[in-house]
Amino acid sequence: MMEAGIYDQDLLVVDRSIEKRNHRVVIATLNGEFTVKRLVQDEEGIFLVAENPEFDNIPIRVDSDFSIWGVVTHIIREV
Amino acid sequence: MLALADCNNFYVSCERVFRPELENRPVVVLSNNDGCIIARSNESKALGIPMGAPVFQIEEQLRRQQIHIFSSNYPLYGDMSDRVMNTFEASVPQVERYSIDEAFLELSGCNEEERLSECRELKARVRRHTGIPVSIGIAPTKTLAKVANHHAKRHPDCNGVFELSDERKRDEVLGATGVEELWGIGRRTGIKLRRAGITTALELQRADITWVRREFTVTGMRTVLELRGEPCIELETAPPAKQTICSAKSFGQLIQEWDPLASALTAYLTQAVDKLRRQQALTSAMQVFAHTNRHRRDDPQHACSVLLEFPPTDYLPELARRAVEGLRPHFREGMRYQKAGVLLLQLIPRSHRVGHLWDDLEQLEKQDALMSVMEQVNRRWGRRTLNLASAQDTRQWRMRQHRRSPGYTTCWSEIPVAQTG
Repeated sequence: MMEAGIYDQDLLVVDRSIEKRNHRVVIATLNGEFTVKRLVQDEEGIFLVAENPEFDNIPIRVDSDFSIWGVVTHIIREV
Repeated sequence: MLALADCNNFYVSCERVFRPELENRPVVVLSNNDGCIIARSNESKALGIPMGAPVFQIEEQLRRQQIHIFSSNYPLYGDMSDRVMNTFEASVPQVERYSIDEAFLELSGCNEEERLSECRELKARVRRHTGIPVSIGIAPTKTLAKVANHHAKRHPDCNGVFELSDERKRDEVLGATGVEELWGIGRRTGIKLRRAGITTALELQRADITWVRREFTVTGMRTVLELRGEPCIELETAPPAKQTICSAKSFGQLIQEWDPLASALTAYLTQAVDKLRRQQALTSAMQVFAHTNRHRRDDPQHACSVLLEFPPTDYLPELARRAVEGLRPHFREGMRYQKAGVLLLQLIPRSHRVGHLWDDLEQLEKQDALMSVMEQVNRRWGRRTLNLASAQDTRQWRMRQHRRSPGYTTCWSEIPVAQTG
């Protein structure tokens, strides 16, 4: 998530109560793991975007073991 | 109108919030020291795992059916409970926190339709904010709200929300409810009622009120009136102060020596005194006890208990000295002790302390200052940061919790980790 300004070891503030809208950075659960991604929905479908050139976008299919757990609102980083 | 909101399989649901892959899979949670089953997911119930079953008896079944097992994680459940309760409190005018996973709510809707949609919305909000599924039963009285909640849970077509106000519907549901399932009817009362020919909640509701009062006192009468839709038990929005405080636990392993037993006792007392001070009270008597494991038939058995009385205090070092010195003469070398505990009695509000002519006021102030510092440090840096030295060595008695989940919401080093790639 480098392009979103999120790096390894960052502490994320996650709000479950706010609306999981398009283009928000979210915590998603995918195959039993928590992952931080940008949620993108367009005419081609729903994608989890890693915002890192090294990783491909993950398309969400009807049978994906997937849910959106919360929305990332802040980043806390040690200097 | 009232409602009873109850979290579904609460401990299991707390674990699942942070382990979403366990959704729809069989899960159980164990009691302290991993002794017996205290919570089951619906899937585990369907597999026939009995509530309260000792783990060693069903170990084989748990393994064969690939049931996921957790030790209990009370810091997690307590914190999740707070989040659920806060969501209730932000949504309805009045809330009574009834237990860790239940609350009575006062609803504002004026008709059934409004209340149902209010509760459906609340159920969805709690799920969204906390991840915890709840069921809600709506009725004019607490006793009926309990029945309504039970109905909501057992009938999938309710989608977790059910109102029991219409009289015809109410009597139909009460007719299908066993009398011992009712709130406030204990096992013995249930047996007595059945002997008198009353088997369903509906029969109790229609029973002669003077007879009920004579046979089952005013408590029984209240239940009957509540079943008729007349509220007799009010919402308690501020919990009443406790009359006694108990802290007792089984050790992780049997103890044969005095030192570790005294250490465990001091640690349990520390928790009791913490509660005492939080409700701003003093104690002037305590019962201290320890016993061996009754279920180990081949072990020699011993139970000791001592009642101590003293001037009102909340000063932990003094209470610890009294407890340890009080029980010491009753301890028997060579016995294998399983459990110990303290019961604080004769609680009075702090403000009611009667001064004594020879009280050393300066000393009392110093003691209070020390306790305050200890509490502040522990609040800030975590429980047991500052502790009595005698409670420090937990090796021989600390709880067995082999399958405990992390302190996801209460411990910085254990918060969930998300992959960035």
